[in-house]
Amino acid sequence: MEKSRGGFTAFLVITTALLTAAFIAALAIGRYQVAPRDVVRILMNPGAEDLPGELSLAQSVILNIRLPRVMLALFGGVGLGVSGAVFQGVFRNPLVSPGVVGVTSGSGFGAALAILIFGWGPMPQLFGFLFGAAALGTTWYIARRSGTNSLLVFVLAGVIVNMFFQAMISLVKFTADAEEKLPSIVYWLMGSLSSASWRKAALAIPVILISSLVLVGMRRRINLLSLGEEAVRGLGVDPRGPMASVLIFTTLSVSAVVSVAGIVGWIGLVVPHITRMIVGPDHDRLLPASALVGALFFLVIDTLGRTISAQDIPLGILTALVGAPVFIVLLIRSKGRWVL
Amino acid sequence: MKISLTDASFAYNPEQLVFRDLSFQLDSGQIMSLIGPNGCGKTTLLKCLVGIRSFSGGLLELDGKAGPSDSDRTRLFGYVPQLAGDPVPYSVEQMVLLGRARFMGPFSRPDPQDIAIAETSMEMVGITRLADRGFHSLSGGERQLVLIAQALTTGATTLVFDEPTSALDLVNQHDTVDLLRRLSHDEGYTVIFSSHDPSHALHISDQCLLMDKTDGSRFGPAEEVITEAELRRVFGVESQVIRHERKGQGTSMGVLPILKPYFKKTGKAG
Repeated sequence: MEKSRGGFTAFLVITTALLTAAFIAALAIGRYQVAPRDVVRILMNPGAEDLPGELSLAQSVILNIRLPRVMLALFGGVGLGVSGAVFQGVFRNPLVSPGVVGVTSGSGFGAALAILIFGWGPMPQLFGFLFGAAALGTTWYIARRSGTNSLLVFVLAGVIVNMFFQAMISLVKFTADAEEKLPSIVYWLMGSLSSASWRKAALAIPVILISSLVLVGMRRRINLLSLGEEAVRGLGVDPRGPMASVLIFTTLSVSAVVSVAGIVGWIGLVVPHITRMIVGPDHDRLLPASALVGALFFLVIDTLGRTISAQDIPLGILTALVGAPVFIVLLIRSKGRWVL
Repeated sequence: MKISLTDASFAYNPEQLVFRDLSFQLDSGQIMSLIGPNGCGKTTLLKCLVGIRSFSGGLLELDGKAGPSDSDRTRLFGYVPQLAGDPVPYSVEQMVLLGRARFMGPFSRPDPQDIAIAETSMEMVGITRLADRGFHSLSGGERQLVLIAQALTTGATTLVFDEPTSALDLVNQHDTVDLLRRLSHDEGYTVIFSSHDPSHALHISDQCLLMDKTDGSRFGPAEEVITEAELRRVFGVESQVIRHERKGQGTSMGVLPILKPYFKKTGKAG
């Protein structure tokens, strides 16, 4: 149903407020607790050198350890939330997410392969993109060649591509040096920001930011694409150009997230659904809103993951524990009839 | 737009011919109907015409210019597809505005002029009151009107409708047929539509293309093509052409199909 403009403004105000609160809380809590007041003080003047001893330690913890991690969580959520909503729109399919169609596991394989060969650096991101694109291309090709436009074939093709790349990931793990590289690959693949650094943030965040801005900018075009290929042609627009841009930028965004955070499932699937229930299905509002909800979701999950036990709990585990029940509820509530 | 099609054919591959040797000529502002049995290729012909698909052979001339490209045709024709599939949940106004998409860049939003054009289209088909409703929440007849308004918003002056009445009840069929007529007679649009109902074709169309699975397609003025003999030949169905005059209001034309006769049971009830 149409939501009023006032309702949408209220949504933006509330989410932004929650995000700000979560941002400060995430920087404050952890093994070394900092008072929220001090967090704000440090953020207001990050270059301060004359801080008293205790605050000087807090400054270092926040600026060098927590801030890059929090920024990666925020932008990881933006990237996954926006790409998930875009995928569901352009494929006219509410069961689709970057994870379901194979982009995530393709990127995961590419990045793992690059880590194995080159170690950490820019290469995992590049390989992640290339193999993510290959996975998406394969899923799309299978679905198209089947000659049907059916939701089922597309999802099944995604499942197959996913399983293939999962096997390839296992092959990488099998080959990896069990002393050094294997543990870091395994841990990263389960989804983790525990090795976040400004260096990783500097590689991933610009890519995610630009891709997401492009996708959100194209939100009217995404409304158009969701009418289906023939209807778009009938309106005098060639769908291939905008479709290609949309797929390239979603894959760029997802592979950048995967290369720093590993395989974090569920966010790209669940966030757009939750957001759609609040702001409605029009991508004009859904895309910016999914960016905010995704950022909040990812940040809360990551902060929980590093604070509820002595050791970091991998993100993939937490998102599945939260995402699966939410999705089950959505599935039952929809009574088998999905409306985008 | 003046349209001339000569010996057109379409085949998915050499073994799978859908139609061939189809020809028609239509003057600007006229209405052409397209009738024929299921599977004779009506939808495919319309898709080829508007540039969603490409003809395999034949010559198409639009206002005297031969061989317009597929993408030119998608812009010259406004296309209203059959109602099918799960409807998208956008608002009616948003749906109609999507008709302006070809004038907009990938990042731009509708400007006041686009919105004014969309409002005019909605007014023309009488759906202004539905502007804020969700497309998916509408009835079949209302959805059909939204798609017509969307096609009008593209600015095309030739409109192509694929079975605009097939999903509608009696009164909505009547209203849609009359809307097509008004678009041509009052607003000057050139209209092409396919239908399963020869009455609709006979009632409003100037020209009719009667398609047949074999090589028996015929084209001509509707009253010459839609006859009892031709309907028997192509559909194998008996029928009666009806002409209904109403004083001071003009003429209605119709076709009454004569269903297979049988003997009614005459026993008393109870």
